[in-house]
Amino acid sequence: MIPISYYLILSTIIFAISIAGIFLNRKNILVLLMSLELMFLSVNFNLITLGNYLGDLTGQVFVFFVLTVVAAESAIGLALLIVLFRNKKTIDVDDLSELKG
Amino acid sequence: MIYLALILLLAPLVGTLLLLYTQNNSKRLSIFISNSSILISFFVSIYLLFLYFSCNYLPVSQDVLVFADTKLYSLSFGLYIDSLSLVMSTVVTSVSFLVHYYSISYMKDESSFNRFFIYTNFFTFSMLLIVLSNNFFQLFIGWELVGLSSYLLIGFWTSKESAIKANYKAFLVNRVGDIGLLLGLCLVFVTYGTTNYTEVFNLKDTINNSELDIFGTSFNLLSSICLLLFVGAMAKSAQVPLHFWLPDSMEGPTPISALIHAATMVTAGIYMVARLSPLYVLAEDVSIFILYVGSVTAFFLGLVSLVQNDIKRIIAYSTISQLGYMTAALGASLYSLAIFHLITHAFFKALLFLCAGSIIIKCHHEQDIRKIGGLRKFMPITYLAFLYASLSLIGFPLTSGFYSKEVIIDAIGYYNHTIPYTMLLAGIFITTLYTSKIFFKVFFGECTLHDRNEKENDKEMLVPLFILTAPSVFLGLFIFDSLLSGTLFGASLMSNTVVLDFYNNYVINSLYFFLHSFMTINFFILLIALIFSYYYYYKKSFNISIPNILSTILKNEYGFNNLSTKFIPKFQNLLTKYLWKNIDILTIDNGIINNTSLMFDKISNTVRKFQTGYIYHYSLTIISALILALLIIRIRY
Amino acid sequence: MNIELITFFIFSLLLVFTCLKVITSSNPVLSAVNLVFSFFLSAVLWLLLGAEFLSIILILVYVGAVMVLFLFVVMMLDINIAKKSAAYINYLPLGIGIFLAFNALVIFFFVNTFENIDYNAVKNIEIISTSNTENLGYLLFTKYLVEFEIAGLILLLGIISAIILTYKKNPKNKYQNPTSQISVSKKDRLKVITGLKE
Repeated sequence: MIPISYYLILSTIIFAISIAGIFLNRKNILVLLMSLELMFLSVNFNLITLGNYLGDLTGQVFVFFVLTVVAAESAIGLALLIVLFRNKKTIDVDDLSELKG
Repeated sequence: MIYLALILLLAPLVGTLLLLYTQNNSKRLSIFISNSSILISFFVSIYLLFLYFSCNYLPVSQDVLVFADTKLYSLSFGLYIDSLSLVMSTVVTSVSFLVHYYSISYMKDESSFNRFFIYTNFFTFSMLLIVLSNNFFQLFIGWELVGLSSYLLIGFWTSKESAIKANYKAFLVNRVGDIGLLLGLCLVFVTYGTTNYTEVFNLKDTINNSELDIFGTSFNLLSSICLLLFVGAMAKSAQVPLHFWLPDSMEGPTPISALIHAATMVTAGIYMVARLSPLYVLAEDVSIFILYVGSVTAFFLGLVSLVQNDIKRIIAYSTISQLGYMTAALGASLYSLAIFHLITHAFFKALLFLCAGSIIIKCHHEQDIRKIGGLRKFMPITYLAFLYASLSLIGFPLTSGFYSKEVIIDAIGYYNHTIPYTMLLAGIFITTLYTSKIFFKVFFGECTLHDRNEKENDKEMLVPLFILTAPSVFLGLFIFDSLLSGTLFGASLMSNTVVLDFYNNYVINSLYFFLHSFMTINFFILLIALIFSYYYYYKKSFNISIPNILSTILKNEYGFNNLSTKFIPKFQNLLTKYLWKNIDILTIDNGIINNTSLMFDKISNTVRKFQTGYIYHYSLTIISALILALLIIRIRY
Repeated sequence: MNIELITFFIFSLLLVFTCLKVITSSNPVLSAVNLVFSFFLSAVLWLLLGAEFLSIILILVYVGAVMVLFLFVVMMLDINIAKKSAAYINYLPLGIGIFLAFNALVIFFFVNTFENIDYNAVKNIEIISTSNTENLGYLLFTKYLVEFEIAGLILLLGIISAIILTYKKNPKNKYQNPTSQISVSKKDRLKVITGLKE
């Protein structure tokens, strides 16, 4: 048997890594999107684990939905990325600071 | 009746509007419109007066238009028709019509001929608005409109610098009075909750003894109201501290001086006090104040005109002095006598001014009486008219001025107001002196005219002189008895008993009064003054050198002129400079406005640095906040 | 120590390692490949949990579609592989600090407040049969049918928006303009010429 806490701790670690990835990454917006995927992964871990804990299959149904939404999201995100690259000739995070006050 | 009164009031307004639209048309059209509208007014008011007395009407106060009606208050446009307002409107419209007619000739060479008639018509309307109003609110509107048209007319010659200064002066001094009037009006409104005359008069007893608390000091409410309203009257009727705009306002065209600054507008204050006599009767301390203001004005400002040389300025000071007589009569609660003098004064002073205008035209706008002389042979009509007007002014027996002025003096003497009585008696002497000064200098002595063969003046200028001579001389006798016995103004003016007592015990009737006057001190003073001036001004048989100090004081007009032209502007300059530099620039501009923007600039400059535009900064912030939140949850649970 | 636990440890350690590689490698291709690995590893972990259908889906959809999309994008974009900047080194301690702090807090939170911390995570939930796929399918097509349809719509939306965003009209190509084709009137089609001499 595997205690439930192991899975929870694992998902926490993955989540923390992806967070660190978001703000440590300075070069590439693509990696940022990948970090987001990791984040979703950790959330899915949690959903399945806690669904099992509650004896409810709804957790897994929600993982299914999350997967579909994330697929759509990453498709749009990548499309945006391409448009961005077409306009600015760069996807360097350091160069993208139009909102700078 | 109310519709007729509406016609009376609105005809000049309609005239004004028509004139405004036909401003660029011919002179004949504007002459026709302006004169006919005033004439309509005049006939209507005559008819109404006739109707009023023949049918024994009671005073009517009726709201024609209510334009702000709430549960708490209502503002309305209404008419108050009684003998007082009708007599006043008759005086106003008649003098106004004659002046209009006179102006056709007087102003014929002016380029802005039509503008003049717009102003005068508008003035007549404003004056009628005051006279016929039945509430304080309307009174105030009329008051301001009169001030406005007076301002416009004094500065009629817009290219003349002194005229512009004079109209500023008039406007500003009147503003001081208007503040008093406005405060009084507000006080009336606050205490009575209404602005209608009759409603206020009905309520007056209930608050007679209530007090007004200002910063811990309590004043009698009614007295405060009366005093504040009288401040307004003081400015408009040129009483002592606020009189000095009137001589300067002679910069306007002479017909205007006759119409506004002698006959009608300046009497608005007198009229208002008389109209509000039910209030003033109760405020006895204010009445005493009014009495002293009036008598001081009558004496001291009469004195000033002795040293003046401008013909119009002399008459202007004489106007102030005569207004002083009226005010004194008001102060002694002799309201009907004040109105009596107001009426007669309106006619003979208008006549004097029109004569002066005639002289000025003849002498090619020369107004200095030292340079005019010997006009008697060349201007016979003007000479006669001026003679009658002067006689009326000095109160020569049987003329209008005699009845109205002597009766005021006698009544004040009868009621033992010693100091005012003395001053008014001395006023007779002075009046006689300055009147004969003009008269003898202008019509006798060396002739200075260049074109001796020309006709006297246009007939448009001479006809009004003829017409005005009649009321100037005979009107006093005509209405003397009915006025004093209370049949004329009995329903509209208060304290008839005061006048009636005086009438029954002292005057008895006009004939008796006439005969009796030869035995009073008044007549002797008049006689002495006449003899003195005959020898001093005409024969020049002796020469009196006035002490230097006295003449300096008089020439400076008691320093009021310096006060208004030098001291107050200087003080105000300092004050406003201080306000500008310290309050406006330092506090408001730099302190509040600029500092606020600078502060925002600084804050936003600091804040905007938080917006780096980098995703990782934002995410770092979010994560830090998340960690913080978790920590807080951790600690609390 | 049973075989499940050993499997879990091996795969979870590998997962953490690949995740770290995803965020630290300077080459985005390497990142993407590591992400693929991490998806594979988590699929194994989900199998352990008894979510068989989802683990298959994760591999098929994610690795097969989304990650391939990522790789395509990486190839389409002309990205120069730079060395790690100074800022990266500067921020590394902060990143580690936040990583540790977050972990410590959340784990502490779980351990202290979560009851039944030793509950077995491995479990088969049965509704209509023992098969996970059948159960999930049953739920999706009965209880969550509307949500399922909406998810389909969202995917459609994703497709359309991705196309719209990246669509670039080539001026050299010839296009039809349906709007103007429809709005043609009779006059424009036929022009009657009169007055010409034969």
